[in-house]
Amino acid sequence: MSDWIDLQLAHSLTPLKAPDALWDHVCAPRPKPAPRRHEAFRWAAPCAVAACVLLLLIRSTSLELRPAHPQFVSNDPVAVQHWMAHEAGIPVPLRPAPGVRVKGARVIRQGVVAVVYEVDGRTESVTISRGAGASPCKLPGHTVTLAANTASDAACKLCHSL
Amino acid sequence: MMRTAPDTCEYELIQACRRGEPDAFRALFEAHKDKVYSIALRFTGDRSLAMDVAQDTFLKLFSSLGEFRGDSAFSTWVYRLVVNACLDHKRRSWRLAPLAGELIAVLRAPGNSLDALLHSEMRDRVRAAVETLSPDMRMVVVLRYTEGLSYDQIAEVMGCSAGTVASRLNRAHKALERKLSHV
Repeated sequence: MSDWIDLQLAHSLTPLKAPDALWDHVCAPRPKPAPRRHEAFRWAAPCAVAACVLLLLIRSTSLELRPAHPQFVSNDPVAVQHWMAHEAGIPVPLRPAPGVRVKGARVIRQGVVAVVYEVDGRTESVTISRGAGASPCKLPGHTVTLAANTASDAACKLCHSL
Repeated sequence: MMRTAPDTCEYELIQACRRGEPDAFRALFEAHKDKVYSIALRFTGDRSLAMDVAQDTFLKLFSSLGEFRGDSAFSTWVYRLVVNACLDHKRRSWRLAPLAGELIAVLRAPGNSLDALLHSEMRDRVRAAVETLSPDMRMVVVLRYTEGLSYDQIAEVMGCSAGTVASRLNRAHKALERKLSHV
């Protein structure tokens, strides 16, 4: 410890005598506290946080539902099929279908892939995962599970002639 | 450690306050006003704020005398009240950014370097530097140098260990050395 600082503090922070007016100040009526904010303002911050969380949830959900941007871009179903089989291990027999144009595919994780296609001028996608799930689809030799971002049967046309 | 029971005179004063005798309140005030005001002023660095902190302290003291059980010395209990009042006041008040605090401290420190004013100027600079310390460090410094309390006494008042007091004081010294190194 520095003796100089010790000395300076001892000189500078000496005790004081309280002013005579202190008793009157203690006995004086206390000033009215500042008016409390309106109840609505008290909830403003929590509501704002909740709104942000809600927006993020909506945004993340909509991102999930939004057609995936293709990783592999090609309008050739066979090329997309080979890429999916090689990259995600999902051998789905894509075929040319009237009114449905394959745009490409994206690997979500091993065993899960999203096929992006265009139908009626809209870009849509279908997620395909290996194994039987909620919406199984039997293909020669294996079963996959589909999850399309629309209720149309366009995704089915990617592999089947309906 | 501090005494664990008030002396007879103080004990009787406390009992008289509990009975609601106005003169007893005044006597208790007179016995502790300098201590309370000194800590409040050295902590806040502002006479008006110190008056408010002292008012808070005495109002709390008078209204909660019934809660004083004598587990610690009465003076320790008073120290705790004024320390809490200072820290509460600090929490309630709008706090400028540390950088702005430093700037204010510099602005408040007089720039006159006349020899006759050197001592007074140094005291002002030291006080201004103390005001920039964090509340916990500042309170330890005030209790140590204004009231002359030991590490154990400060620890008892602030509800921490003597080691924590020593650590805060050490950090305060280093911070003050840095702030005052240009003087």
